[in-house]
Amino acid sequence: MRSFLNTLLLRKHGFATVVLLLTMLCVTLLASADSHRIGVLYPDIREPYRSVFASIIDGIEHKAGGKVARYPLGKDVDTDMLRAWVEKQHINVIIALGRRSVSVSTELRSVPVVTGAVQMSPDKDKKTPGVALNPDPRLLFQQLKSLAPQVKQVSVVYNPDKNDWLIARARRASANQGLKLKIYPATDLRDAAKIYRKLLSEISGQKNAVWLLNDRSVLDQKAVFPLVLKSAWENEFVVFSNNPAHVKRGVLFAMFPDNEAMGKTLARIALRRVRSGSSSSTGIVPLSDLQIAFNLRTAEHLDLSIDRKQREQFDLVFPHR
Amino acid sequence: MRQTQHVRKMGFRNQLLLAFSIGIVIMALVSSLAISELSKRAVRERLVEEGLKTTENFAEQSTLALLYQSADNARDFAEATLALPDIVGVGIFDQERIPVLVLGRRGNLDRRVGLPKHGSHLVSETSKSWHFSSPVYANKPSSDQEDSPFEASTPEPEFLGYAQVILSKKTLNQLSRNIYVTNLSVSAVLALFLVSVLIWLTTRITRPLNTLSKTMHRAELGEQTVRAEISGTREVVEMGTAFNTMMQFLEEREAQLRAARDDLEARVQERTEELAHSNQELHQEIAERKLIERQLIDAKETAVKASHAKSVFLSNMSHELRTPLNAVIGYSEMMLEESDDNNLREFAPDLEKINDAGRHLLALISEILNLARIESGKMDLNINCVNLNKISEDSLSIMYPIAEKRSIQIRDNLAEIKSIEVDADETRLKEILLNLLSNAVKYNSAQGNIELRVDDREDEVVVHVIDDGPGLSEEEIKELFEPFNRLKAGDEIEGTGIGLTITKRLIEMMHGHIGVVSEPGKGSDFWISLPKAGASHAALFSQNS
Repeated sequence: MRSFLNTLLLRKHGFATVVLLLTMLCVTLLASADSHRIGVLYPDIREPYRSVFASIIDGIEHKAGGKVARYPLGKDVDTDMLRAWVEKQHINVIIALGRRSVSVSTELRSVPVVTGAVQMSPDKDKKTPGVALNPDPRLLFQQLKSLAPQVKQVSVVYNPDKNDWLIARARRASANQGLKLKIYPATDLRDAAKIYRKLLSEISGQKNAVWLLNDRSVLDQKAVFPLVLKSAWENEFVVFSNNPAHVKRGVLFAMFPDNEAMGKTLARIALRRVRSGSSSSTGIVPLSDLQIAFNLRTAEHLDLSIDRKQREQFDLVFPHR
Repeated sequence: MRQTQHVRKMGFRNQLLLAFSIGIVIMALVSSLAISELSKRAVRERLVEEGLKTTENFAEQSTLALLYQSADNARDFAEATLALPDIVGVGIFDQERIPVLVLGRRGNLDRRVGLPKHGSHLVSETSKSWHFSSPVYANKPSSDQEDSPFEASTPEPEFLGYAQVILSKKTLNQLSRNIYVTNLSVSAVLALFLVSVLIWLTTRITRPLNTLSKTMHRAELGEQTVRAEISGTREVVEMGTAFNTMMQFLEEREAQLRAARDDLEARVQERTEELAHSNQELHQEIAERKLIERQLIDAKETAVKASHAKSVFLSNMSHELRTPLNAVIGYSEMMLEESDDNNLREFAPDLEKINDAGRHLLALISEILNLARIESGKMDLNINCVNLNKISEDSLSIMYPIAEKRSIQIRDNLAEIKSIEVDADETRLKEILLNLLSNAVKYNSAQGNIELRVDDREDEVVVHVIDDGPGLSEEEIKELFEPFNRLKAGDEIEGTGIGLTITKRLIEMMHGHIGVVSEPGKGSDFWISLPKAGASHAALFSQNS
């Protein structure tokens, strides 16, 4: 190698060679700054979840430039083997996707962890950064005002143990959008059912909207949800949700995760966490990378005018035509 | 037992019909019952399955009623469920089994304990209905939501209470009755058809067999020239053919037996006649034999008397003859002495002839007397253990001078043998040996040779007297031991002609034998055999045995 460089430097292309070598050195130094290796933990699970995680990982790899090592987790996880894998792969940061991965990642203290793809609450000290699967209320309400500008009041039944943090954000977001947020805390299904019965008997008209959180502890999908839909249809108020499946059944719209974009966000958070250390942690944040599912039949029933531009924003439209 | 005997007395066809009919009836009965039971079970399983599904469906629809504790939320669906076929009661009960809604029959769900909390179950069953129950849960995840990896924690479904459905068995019982009736009817029709076919078939099969049986029965009763009709199945045809063959064979055999019997009777008749004839001849022969026997007895008595008279006569005559003969011999000797003394020598030859003739006559009379004694059984022998060597030497010493007169050489082998003792009368044995040696000298030619050879055998001793005289022909040998048979003897040879006869009698009295081997021109070998000492008793014993 040395004889080769000498030959280049001294004989034929002396100046040009020096420029080339300097360029290579700069690229190497820049690359070394982003050479952090990301380990992705995800559950080895059946479809359709497998495809969801695959899309998220694609986003991570796209953002991280391919320096990603995957570690599928079975039902029985050997943490020692996982630690050995982390060391062998020279992992600098872990992105834990799904409930199982988040649970296992608490055992890994040697590397920072970023969580994602889970409906979770942020920890109090905000040590663990990540993106919750819950859509950001700010974006939800923006979309609500965009699609149904006549809505003035949004009612929501929630479980304080799970979604108190989200409701706090919702309060701020609703205020920003000029909406009145009426919150109904419920401790269990029975309690929630009674609240829904009372709520549904009280509200009517397009000024009202009901926000259905994707939380099974306060919303029975088989018994209460049809009641809500039936009442909304009869009393012509808006119902929106975090679950695109609800849209298919009659909810006006729902915002749901854009998986690949979420992967990119997670990779960005992870790389920032490695570069800046724990001081940069913002804790768990709601999901901002969202897609829109919209029910045209419901909108038609509510006499909502949807222009072409709005329609183009929709990622899923029901019913299919 | 009586039934078994009754069945045994039944014909082949009836037994066949009975067995197969019973089999068909049993088969039809069992199969119809089995099919009915299986069908009933299948129907029951289907109804139970439907009941379980209905209950599960009703439970899902009961969630709202239990959540709100309001019967109105489920009344419509409960009425719709109750309107389903065979549903006779529905009910919704909360966690404490307090009824929220009960339509139709109430059931006993609120009194039961230990109800399962997962899935719908058949909790009880009566003769008229099934009681199903299913727990009611709120927030029960759908199959898509189970194990969702996106939830931080999976919320447990909330147990709200129970839904109950009572399903009547009316349909099942009706269906079961219909199934049983239908199956039994079909089986009965099928059994009747099969039995009819069986009767037709057995009748067709057994008709030739019955015909054959009747034919055999006729044959059994003795009817002649009975033949079976050859028809029916292969086996029956074979049996009929075999029967005809057998009957033909029996008839032929009977004919043969009859012929043989006739022949035998004829032969018996013939033999009987022959036997009668033979019997008659036998009787006649017996009579003749009795007559002959009588005659023989008479002849024997006459002969015995004659013999006795002869012996007496000979004895008397010998005595009477000896006295004058002794006088003739005595006086002739006196006259010879006186002629010599008186110088009357010219009378001497005549006187010597008288003396010789007298002595010859006296010897003849003595031998005749001996013969007579032997034949009359009055000769007594003194048999003892005697030394044959000594007797032989004594006899030879007497014969040497006589032989020398004729220049005859006598040889013997006494020096070569050991001492031999025999059971014999010493005097008579000596006489026998002297008689044989004397004959050898007398009948031999001058300068001839004589040999006395003793042959010592195991149980007996044979003494040979061998000469090289003129020999004897076979005819001469036959007459040799007859009395007064002086063969080839001229006047120049002295003798009475009864010496060998007496010798033979004496040897036989001493349990011995005598014989001769001779050919004309080659001399003669006269031999006697005597038992060794002690052997004669054994020989006598064995003879008596």
